[in-house]
Amino acid sequence: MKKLLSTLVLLLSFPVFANQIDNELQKYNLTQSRIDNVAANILNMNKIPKRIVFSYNDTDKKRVLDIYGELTKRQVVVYDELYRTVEDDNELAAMLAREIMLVVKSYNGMWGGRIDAMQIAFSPKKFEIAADKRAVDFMVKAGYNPLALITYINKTCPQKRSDKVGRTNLTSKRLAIIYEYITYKYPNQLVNNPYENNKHYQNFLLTSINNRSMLNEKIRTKSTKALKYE
Amino acid sequence: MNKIWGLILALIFSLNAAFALSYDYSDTEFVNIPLSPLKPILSNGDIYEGQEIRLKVKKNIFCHGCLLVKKGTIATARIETIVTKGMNGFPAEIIIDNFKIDGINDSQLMSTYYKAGKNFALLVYPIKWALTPIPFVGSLTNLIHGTDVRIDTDDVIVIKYFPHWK
Repeated sequence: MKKLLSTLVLLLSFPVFANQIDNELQKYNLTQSRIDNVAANILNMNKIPKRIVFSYNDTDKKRVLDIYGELTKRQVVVYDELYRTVEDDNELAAMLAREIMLVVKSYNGMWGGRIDAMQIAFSPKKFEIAADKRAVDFMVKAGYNPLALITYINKTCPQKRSDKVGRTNLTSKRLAIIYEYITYKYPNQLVNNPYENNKHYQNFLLTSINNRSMLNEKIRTKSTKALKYE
Repeated sequence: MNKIWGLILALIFSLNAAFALSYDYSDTEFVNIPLSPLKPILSNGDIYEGQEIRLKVKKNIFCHGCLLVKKGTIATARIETIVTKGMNGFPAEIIIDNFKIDGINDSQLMSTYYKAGKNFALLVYPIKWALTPIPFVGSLTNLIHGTDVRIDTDDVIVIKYFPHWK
């Protein structure tokens, strides 16, 4: 009797499990399609003639050895921890555009890009800023709002105490450089700015008062010197 | 009745157009357009990101037997990104894009141009790793910088024109 009952319970619960798996698959599929669509937009609108694949990974973090998959396999993996912070397609485009730049870089240069890829892997600090700037260009050309790169980085990259010795730049410095880049190159994006009502963008404005006042001074004096952002 | 059918057809066509992509890369026929800058461009010179530069077409360009662009025609482009040279043999880089030539639709051009200075990574990393057993000495190789980049007036920048792209 007990066996019969447990078999019955198992049989009855099977469709529920199947349904759950089905829902998860559907959700996974939707996420992957969304990533592929935005990525294809960026690649096609910027006429990037290099093969790059994108895959969604529902684990939280990159494994240490997976860090440079972009440079060796030309595959961009979007991890759930970062994907969860993405609010709209503009922010997703911001996330992907940076990675696309890294992959494109791995195609150029000495030994079919191997040396350049190695250099980015060992000393990412120098190339971090270039990737941010190029990401802005890619986004604008693909019709996305580049200010989303600011909100995305503002939400996801922690602020270190100093970048004198480390392998990466201070996040506040990166944000200020991106803001300056957009100010000079795409000023119309700041005039008709839909991000003015975005809390994360306002938070960036609040935390970058000093850096932005340095920029205002640079614009006022028509200086061409590179600013030392903090 | 005919009017109604016409209206339905027009609606279908307009819906189709709304969902059509703004690009179509199916055609593979292209013509190379060689260009040279009017002034040398130096990564450590007086240039800035977003700056418009002027270039001239190096020779007469023909497409399907017709003259497409005359030799000497002035084209413009934009300096997109400048990467300054850095430690560990990192070279300076210049990326130029947004080429414009009179009479040619921008969407029919494929044109990102990239030039880097000399990369000393092949020198830096072996020395760094060889010196690593001696404390702090390996880090001295950080001080080796790559070189600046210079695009001269006789350098040739080749962009591609695809006559059948929309």
